[in-house]
Amino acid sequence: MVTTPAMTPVQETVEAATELRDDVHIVLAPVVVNKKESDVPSLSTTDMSQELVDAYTYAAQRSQAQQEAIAVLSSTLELPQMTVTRRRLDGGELVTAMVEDLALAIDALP
Amino acid sequence: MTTLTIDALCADAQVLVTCGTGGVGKTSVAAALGVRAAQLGRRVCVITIDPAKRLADAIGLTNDLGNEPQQVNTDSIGELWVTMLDVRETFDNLVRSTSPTPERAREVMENSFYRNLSRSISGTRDYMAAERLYELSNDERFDLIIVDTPPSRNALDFLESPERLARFLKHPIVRLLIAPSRGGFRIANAALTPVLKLISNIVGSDALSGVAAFLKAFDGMENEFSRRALAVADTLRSDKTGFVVVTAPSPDALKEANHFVSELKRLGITLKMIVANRMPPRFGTTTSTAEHLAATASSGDTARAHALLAELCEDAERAEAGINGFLARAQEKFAGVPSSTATEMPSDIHDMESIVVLAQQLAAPQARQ
Repeated sequence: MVTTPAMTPVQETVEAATELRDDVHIVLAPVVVNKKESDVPSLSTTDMSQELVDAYTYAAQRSQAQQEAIAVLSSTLELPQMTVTRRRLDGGELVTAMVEDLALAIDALP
Repeated sequence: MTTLTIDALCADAQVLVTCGTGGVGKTSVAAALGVRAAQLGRRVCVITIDPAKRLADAIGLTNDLGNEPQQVNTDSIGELWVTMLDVRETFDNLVRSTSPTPERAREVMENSFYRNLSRSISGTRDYMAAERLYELSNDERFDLIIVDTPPSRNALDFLESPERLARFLKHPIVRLLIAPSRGGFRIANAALTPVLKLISNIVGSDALSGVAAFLKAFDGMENEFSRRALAVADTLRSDKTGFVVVTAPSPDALKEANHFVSELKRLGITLKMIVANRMPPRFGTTTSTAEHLAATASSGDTARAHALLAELCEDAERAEAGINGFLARAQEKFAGVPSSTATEMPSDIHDMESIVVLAQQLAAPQARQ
């Protein structure tokens, strides 16, 4: 199953996975969490312009919301996760980067 | 020519239909349009045809939605009601209201073919969506119905379903099965007997007799079915119905939005509004190029903040280019179609507060029109 790190897709993934497991008795592979933003570093915004503060605040809030969605996924669905980072790439470059992420995630599976 | 605004659309329309692919925030936009219309004093009912629970999630309802609309508090002068299509209940209600007697209604509803039809055939959802729209349009509690279509490519199938149902009910074989004893069909009856035998051989005599029993019990109800179907078809094509294509700036979403625009054109339906939802926010007037340079020229946390802003600028620039290209293509099919933009919030929309914010964004004066 593939989801994105946002609350609605996570909830729908959990519901679908639960039905597949309990009603159809399918053994599910690890869940792919696609398009996760890179972690936002903790910054001191003293003396920064308002634009920089606003951008940082937005990015930090989005990252926090993604972390919360992933935490819900972890706590409600007992399946390993494989994370694919969102990249600002297109076409072949994007596919290559995703394959690399998935390869690393597969290697890290328990 | 005055450009149509979200407020004008919400103030005048009797039916609004939102369409778009999955992940663009279509259900949230439908709810936000409902909130805005309620703020303008309308008595609105938002119906979702999507079997997923997204409408309830978007407005923060903890209980499940059903066929019966439930009112939501919006602190506005109008009213907002929400409901989710229940195919079986809508079909049962239709049978009850068109049946000449309660006994006949029971006979139809106990028929095995009917039970399968009302529960499991996916096309039935389209017919019942149209029927539910008919019911809600004639419900005096509401003066605006907002239809949230499913997030699939064939979401607009329900637009054609009323006419398809009316055509189906007029088909000679169907009419023969409904009323084989009626005079005009005696010759056809004799001619069709071998055909029915052949069908019986293929699908099984039990299945065919179930269909035949259903259609016989249906006798006398088909005219009302057809009348209601055609009334919905008229409603969907009237000036008081507005179609709103909702998209996000990702390439996949824009491709699907193009498909919906083309489908509306093919169906001869006017596109009233495009909503560009989930647009990455802009922070000031800076550009990605300027921010990348600023990041290189500075150090420490300031450099990291400039790099972060450069990435967000890239997102915004890429999104604006994609949306502008799509809008230009849409203008070729629907000259002058207006658009409204809403920015992506840092977290999912899952309560009334965020729906109100989205409604304010959509109703705000738009730079791009």
